[in-house]
Amino acid sequence: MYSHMMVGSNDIDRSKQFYDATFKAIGGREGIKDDKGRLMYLHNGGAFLVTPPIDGQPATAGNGCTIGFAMTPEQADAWHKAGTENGGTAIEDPPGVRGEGTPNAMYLAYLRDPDGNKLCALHRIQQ
Amino acid sequence: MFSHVMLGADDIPAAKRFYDATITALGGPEGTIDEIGRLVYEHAGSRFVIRTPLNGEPATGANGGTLGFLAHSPEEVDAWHAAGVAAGGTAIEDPPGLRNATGGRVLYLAYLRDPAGNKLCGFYRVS
Repeated sequence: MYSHMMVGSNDIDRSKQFYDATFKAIGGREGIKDDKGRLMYLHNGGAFLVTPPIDGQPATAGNGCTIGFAMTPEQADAWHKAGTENGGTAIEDPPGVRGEGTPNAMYLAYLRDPDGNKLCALHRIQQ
Repeated sequence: MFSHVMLGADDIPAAKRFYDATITALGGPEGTIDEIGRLVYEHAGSRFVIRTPLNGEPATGANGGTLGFLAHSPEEVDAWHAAGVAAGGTAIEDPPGLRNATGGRVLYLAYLRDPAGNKLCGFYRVS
């Protein structure tokens, strides 16, 4: 359904430290900077980009917006740790199982990136 | 890469009108409202959710943020854009058309804001 997701940044180098660390923690690679100064991360068939806003105004997180990345529980823990150690902020409950024993059981972890964009690591637990 | 994306909206019926029109233009389904009032689309292995923000504040689009939806042809991008404008969205950026992108890629792109102000892209890679 998705071709790509792009988030805004007020400091591309700061964002690169965060996203390089979190993508590498789940077996991905460092970001590539393009000729417009944007970062691109290609992973598991998807594209995630980080850009200064084109209107010259500060980057802001959308209220109500969360971007979910598919991971195993082990990857979610590694992703969360790498994020908090590289400029991100832990939010919501700590990484763990939600809805244990129900058909909707999931392993979830949440972070905000250095610009406040809300991110989620999700693993659907098969019953 | 993406398990899901969630965007904020304060007016869920307006969001449903817009996303039903645009997502069906790309071959996807209409949305359903779940037991806690969230608008949910499941298509091609991905999940897309629209809900009122958890913090009770108004939904806002992210400055610097864009969510790209995958189309299967330039005609489908045009149909997505027209459906969105007719269903409460706003046309932004250049009109739908070809773009020369980084790495020698040729893309056919269109841009919309949804009724809540979230920035969206209809995306087809020509070559």
